[in-house]
Amino acid sequence: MRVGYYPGCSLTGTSREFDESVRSVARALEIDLAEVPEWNCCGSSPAHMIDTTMSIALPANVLLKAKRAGLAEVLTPCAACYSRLLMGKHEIETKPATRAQVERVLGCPPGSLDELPKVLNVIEFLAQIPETIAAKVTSKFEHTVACYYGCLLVRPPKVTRFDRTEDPVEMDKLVALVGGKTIDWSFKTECCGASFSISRTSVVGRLSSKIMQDATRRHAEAIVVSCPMCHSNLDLRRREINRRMEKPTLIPVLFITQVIGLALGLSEKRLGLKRHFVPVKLPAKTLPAQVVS
Amino acid sequence: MGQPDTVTQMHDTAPDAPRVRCFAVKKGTNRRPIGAYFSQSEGRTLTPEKYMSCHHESPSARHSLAARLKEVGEVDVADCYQCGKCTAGCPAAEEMDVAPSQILRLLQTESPKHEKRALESMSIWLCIGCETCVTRCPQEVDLPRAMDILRQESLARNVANRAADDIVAFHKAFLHSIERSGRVFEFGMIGDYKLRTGHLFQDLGAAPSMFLKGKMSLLPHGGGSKREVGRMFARARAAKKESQP
Ligand code: SF4
Ligand code: SF4
Repeated sequence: MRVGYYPGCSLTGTSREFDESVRSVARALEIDLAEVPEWNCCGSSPAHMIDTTMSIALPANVLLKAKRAGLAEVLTPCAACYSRLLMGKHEIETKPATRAQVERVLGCPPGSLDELPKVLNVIEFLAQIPETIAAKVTSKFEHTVACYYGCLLVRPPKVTRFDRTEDPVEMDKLVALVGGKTIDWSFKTECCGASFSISRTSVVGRLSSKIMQDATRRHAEAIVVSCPMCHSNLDLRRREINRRMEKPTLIPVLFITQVIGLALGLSEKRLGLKRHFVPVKLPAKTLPAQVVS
Repeated sequence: MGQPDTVTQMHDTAPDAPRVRCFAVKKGTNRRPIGAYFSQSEGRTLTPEKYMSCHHESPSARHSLAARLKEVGEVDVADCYQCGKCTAGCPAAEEMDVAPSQILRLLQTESPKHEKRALESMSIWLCIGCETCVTRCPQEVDLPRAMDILRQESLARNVANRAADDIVAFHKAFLHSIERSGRVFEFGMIGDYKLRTGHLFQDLGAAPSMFLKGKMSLLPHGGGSKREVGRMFARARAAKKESQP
């Protein structure tokens, strides 16, 4: 099985372990990831905040390269890239004037932006192949975790068309597939502060501590995410978070691909588990056998 | 029932002025109260002609922001009936000086004074772009897009709130990094941000461990897309210049 792959900037830098775990899991599942050749940044939040034209042109350029490389689908693990790629594609498909403007910025002939590849996040991609994953599980992930989806996978629903908007379940299903248990909680799609990690760390501390508070109160052993921004806010900004918590917490934050990788028996190193700031230490099997089966 | 053609003052009304309830009508929906009350006192109400002639602002300001939002973003502020649901779920509302629903209210009046208040607000910079508001809005008012347009308008008119300088600097440093290397090069971008803001020592605690964990490299990692992306930025800039009179 072959699928286009757009890692995006975070996965080559601050969230390298997400990239490492996606690639390792793909290899284990015999999926061929075809990286989009010479890809550029999607523009992330800063582009849509202060430069609307580039916020559409940058993702359009990525999708055009993928299309030219013959890729019909592009897997985009980073939730922010996923959102920008989908939004860019949506604007181009629904607004002829925007499409013409972007064609000029890209310097490509009219019609080049027709039929751009499909954009997939890592959860919806893995959800397509449950049997393949289940068949390769070697050591069940017997832990109780909180699946945290964040903003950009599910919103705006008209564009992403992914999962249930206010109470998504697809990631929970993947965790269950590899033997884990997930808690029912209230902060699945609450914002963590996203790109304010550097310019307004206090906002991140306030929002992320509420998320942490609810997850720990309900006895999650870890938080599972699918977004580099959510990960770095909950992991790298833990000191800022703990300052606001009633009781400081050291529960780790894992990417969904790291959880699946552990169940597939992949090594800590190949999953990049050592790169986290909050050490990934999970209690020994805590689930009674009947819950797991 | 007069909202559309008259520009009324929202706050500074005499306490004894007659109050009129306004309704917004949305395609295919019933008439709905917009929740705010207008004063219709004589003399305070300006006709559009008088309003145009008594304000001499830059050419871009002559058309209302509401009209601009509709034109470039397909956001119709008249769709908003001020239920406040957007503000209720907004994660940044606590830090904001003007609530998200109030930003729309300010634009609905089309008064330059209120528009100025929106453009100079901290709120447009504190909006995280989380898309919660538009997802929950019963009228599907695209508030995040409105915020995008307001931010850009605020920069274009050079009226951005100075307390947002560091946020603006972060966005600029980020885009600058993309323009130069095609991708975001964190080390260079953060250096650029620090120079722009003077926050030289912020986050120094996190930096060494980021290098140790292999999360931040000292050299730009860009593919061959570098020059191509630089040209895209140049073409976009040229097109923008051309479209401005
Ligand atoms: S939720 Fe929608 S209709 Fe209600 S105040 Fe906000 S923008 Fe207006
Ligand atoms: S997009 Fe902005 S205004 Fe809307 S809920 Fe999020 S932070 Fe608030």
